[in-house]
Amino acid sequence: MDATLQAVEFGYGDAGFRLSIPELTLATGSRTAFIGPSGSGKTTLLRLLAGIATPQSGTIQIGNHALHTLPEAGRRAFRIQQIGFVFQDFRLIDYLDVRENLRLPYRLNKALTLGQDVEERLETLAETLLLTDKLSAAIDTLSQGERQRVAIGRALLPQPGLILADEPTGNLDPTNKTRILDLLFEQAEASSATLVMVTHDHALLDRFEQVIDFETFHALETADA
Amino acid sequence: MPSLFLAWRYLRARPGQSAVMILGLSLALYLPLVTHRLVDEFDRTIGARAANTPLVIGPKGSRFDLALHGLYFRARNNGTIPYSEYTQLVERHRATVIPLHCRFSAKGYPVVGTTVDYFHFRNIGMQPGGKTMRQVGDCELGATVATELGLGPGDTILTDRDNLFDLAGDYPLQLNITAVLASTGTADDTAIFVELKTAWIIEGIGHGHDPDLDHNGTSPKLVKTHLEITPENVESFHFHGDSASFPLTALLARAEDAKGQALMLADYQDNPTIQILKTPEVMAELMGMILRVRDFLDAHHALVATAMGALLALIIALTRRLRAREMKTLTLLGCGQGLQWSMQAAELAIVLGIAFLGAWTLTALTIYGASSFFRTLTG
Repeated sequence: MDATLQAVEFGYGDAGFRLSIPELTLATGSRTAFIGPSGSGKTTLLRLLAGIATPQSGTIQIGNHALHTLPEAGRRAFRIQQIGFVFQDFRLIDYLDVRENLRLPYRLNKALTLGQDVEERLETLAETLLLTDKLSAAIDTLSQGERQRVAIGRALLPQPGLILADEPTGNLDPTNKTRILDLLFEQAEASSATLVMVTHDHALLDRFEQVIDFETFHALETADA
Repeated sequence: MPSLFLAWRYLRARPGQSAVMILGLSLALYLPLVTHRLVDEFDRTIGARAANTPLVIGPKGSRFDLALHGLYFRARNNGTIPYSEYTQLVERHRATVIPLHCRFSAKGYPVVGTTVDYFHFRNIGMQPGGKTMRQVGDCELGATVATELGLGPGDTILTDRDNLFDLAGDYPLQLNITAVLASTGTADDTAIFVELKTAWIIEGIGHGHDPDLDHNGTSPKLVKTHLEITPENVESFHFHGDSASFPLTALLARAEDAKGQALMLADYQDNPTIQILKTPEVMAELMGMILRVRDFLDAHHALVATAMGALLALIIALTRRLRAREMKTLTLLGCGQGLQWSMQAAELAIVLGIAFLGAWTLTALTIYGASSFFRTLTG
């Protein structure tokens, strides 16, 4: 799923934070990294792409959806169907076991239907994410790496067209970091999903086709992408 | 129903917190519920018995004491009336009149001296294997008495001594059990029935003693009195004095019609020593007092409910704050506010539902336990 932003303006209050994006295009199946100092608007842009926040002006087109024109309920339905959000702090629900955390998007919105095909996909995904023997485990019994894998599984199960990952490896040790990144890339590629990741880790940037630096806000094409 | 599912999972994951909320709410619901149910049950129980016993006649004094004595064999009463009152009433009116003498007990249960007509009056049958009491010293046990004491036909039971230090007073008498009455769920289950003569013997008005000893020149207290009535010594039992003056503690009466009842009431209108009571009215008056107490308690329950409601609102507000991050996550994933509110509503509904079920169960158990109390309320 591709995404195009045109003349997007977003801000908090009159004198507060402002984000201005003249133009940004994310091609279908591409891998893009957002880098930049804290407070430069990386997460805000993810929220705009997810339809959590709406721009004051400009257009956000994702696939066939003109996100800036959709009402709140429409954006929620779009988000749960088309966006896979992976958070740095996992944001898992502690009173649900791993299986129910994976199923969670299907419980939250009627736009998704929990059927046999989803259950089969869940089993396959759990196997890929090495979570098969953890499906009935409580969240607080999992390691950090396992939790992030559950969070990725939750984002991927609805087969989103756009995966938004907000520093998904920020809390992980180097071994887990590489493994999680590999998983994200593999799963995105397998489903032809577009991947956007916020990161502070410049050592990872050569794995992305496009890097957006929010400090200067201009797109940098990596040498080998 | 995702909200119900998520609410249930949330509550299940926090058993301690959920249990405290459910317990608190259960108790808050239980108190008014049990008060109302107890009062209703009490009203039903005393109302039914009072309706079956339209009139009670006895010595002047507390109306409530006499009504409760006549209906429930309560030991406290206002004194006695002579037996002649019974015979005169039977002669003067077309009514069912039942004499009662209830001043003693056996193993703590009231010993009720009456006639076999009482069993017809109350429509009480007999459990299999029993025989109607035929001679002085015989008794029939209420169903609860028989069960609790493990006694039946052929066994004996000793009456309680009224005053251990009164050597000149009444002596305990061994009663021969001839039958156990069918259970009625009333005060009759917790009473021991004897013939009037037996009650008078317990009181010391009648007695039996060895034939070679008589009262001539011998102090009655030196006479060897029998404590047990057997076929061999039953003939030796006799009474002293005029039976017309022998004591009764109350008369139960049911006139044949309204006119008959009006005539009986008129009979005692100006009587200086005896009163006649319309038991339904007296019990309704007693019930009125209880209802006022209930209303008073209701006001307190309303306060408790308000406090519980405020506490619940505080818990919900605090829970929402504590769960702000979780709710934010749900929003980020694509969950609407409606589902989030309905999740909390479902949690509240589950907690309230279980609490109500708990309160209802506790109330049912209380009512079950209290039913025997109601029967013996007046014992």
